[in-house]
Amino acid sequence: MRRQTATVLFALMLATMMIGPPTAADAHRWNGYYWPRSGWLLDLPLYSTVNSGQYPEWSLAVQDWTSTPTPVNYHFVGSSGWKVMAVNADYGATGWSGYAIIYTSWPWTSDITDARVLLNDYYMLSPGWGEIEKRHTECQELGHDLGLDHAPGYASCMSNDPGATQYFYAQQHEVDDINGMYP
Amino acid sequence: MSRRSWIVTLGLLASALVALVITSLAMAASPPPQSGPPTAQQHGNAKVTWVENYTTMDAAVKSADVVIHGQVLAVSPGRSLDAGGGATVPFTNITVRVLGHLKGSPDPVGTLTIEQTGGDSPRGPVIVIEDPPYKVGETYLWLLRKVPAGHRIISPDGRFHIESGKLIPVKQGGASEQWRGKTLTGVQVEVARSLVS
Repeated sequence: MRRQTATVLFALMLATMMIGPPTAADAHRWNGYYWPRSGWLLDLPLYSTVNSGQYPEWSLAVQDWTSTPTPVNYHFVGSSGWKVMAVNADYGATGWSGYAIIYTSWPWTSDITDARVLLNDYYMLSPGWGEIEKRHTECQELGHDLGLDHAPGYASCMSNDPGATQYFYAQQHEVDDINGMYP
Repeated sequence: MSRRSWIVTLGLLASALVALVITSLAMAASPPPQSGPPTAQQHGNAKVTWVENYTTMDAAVKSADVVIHGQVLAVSPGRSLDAGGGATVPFTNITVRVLGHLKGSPDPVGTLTIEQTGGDSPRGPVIVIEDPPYKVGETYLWLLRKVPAGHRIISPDGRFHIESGKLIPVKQGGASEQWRGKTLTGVQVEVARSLVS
C-alpha cells in the first residue's frame, strides 16, 4: 500500500512539474517572468522622467517596441497608473549603460508587477555615444522589462556582443520571442 | 490491490488535484492594477547592458586595469541610488584580501574593495543575474577596472570562482569560457602572454 501511494504521489509530482506556465518557443526568456494581462494586448503605461533634451531618441525607442507586430503597447502616461517607469541620471562608472529592474509579487512567482528602466548618463552622454548606441541600450532595457533575457550570438538588440549596437531596435528575433511569450 | 487501497489512492489523487487547481488559479490571478509603485516587500531582478564586452580573454586581460585572485573578507551594503517610484538601485561593497596579482598593482596592497551593483533594498533584494551575490570566504580571480569607488569587474567575463584550484566562470557562455577549468598557474601564463603580445 505504501509503495502504491508513493507511486501515485510521484506521478502527481511529475504531472505538477509538467503543468506550468506556457513555455516560449525560444530560450531567451528571462526566468519565465511575464506580465499578466486580461486580453491579447500587452498594455504597458510608461511614466518617463527621461530628459528629452539629453535623450531625444528615447521616445523613438519606446515607439519602436510598440510598432512591432506583437501585443506590446508601451505608451507614455503621467505619474499615476503606470506599470513601467524610466529615469536617467549619472549613476557613475558602474560598468552598465542601462539597467532594467522587474519586480515580482513574491520570489517564487513569475508575474511582473512593475518595472524600471534606468539610463546611465555617465556612459550614454559621454563622447562616442550617438543615437544608435543609445537606442541599442534603450531597446534592450525595454526588452528586459517585457521579460526578455540577453541573446548572445543573435542579430538582436538583446545581444551585448561586440558590434551588436547595430541592432538598435527590436529585430525579428525579439518579435518571435515576444509572440512566443504573449501569444 | 484491495478495494480499501483503491479508495485511499483515489482520495489522495482527488486531494492533490484540488490542491493543484487551487494553486494554479492563485498563480494565474492578476495582481491589482498598478497606480504607481506597490509598497509591499517584493523581489527585484535586474539585467543590465554592460558597456564592455569581449570576444577573447586576451582582449579582456589587455583592457583590465588589475587582474588579481583573492578571498572575500566582507560583504557590506554600499551606496543606494534612486530608481524612481520608490525603487532603488542598491550597491554592495566586497572587501577582498588579495592573494596575488597577475596584472596591475592593487592599492592599497593587501586588500581592495569591489563595488557590485545589486544588494538589499527597501523593496527586497535586487540581484543582477550575471553578477550574483558574494559569500565571505569564497575565492575568485577578477579582472577589474579602477573606478572612484575602488574597483569593479570589467564585465561578467571578469569574474571566476576558484574551486579546487580551478577557475569556474560566473557567466555562462562568452569569452570567460576560454578559461573554464584552468588552474591559476595556467592563467598566469595566459596573462603574461597577453601582456607581451
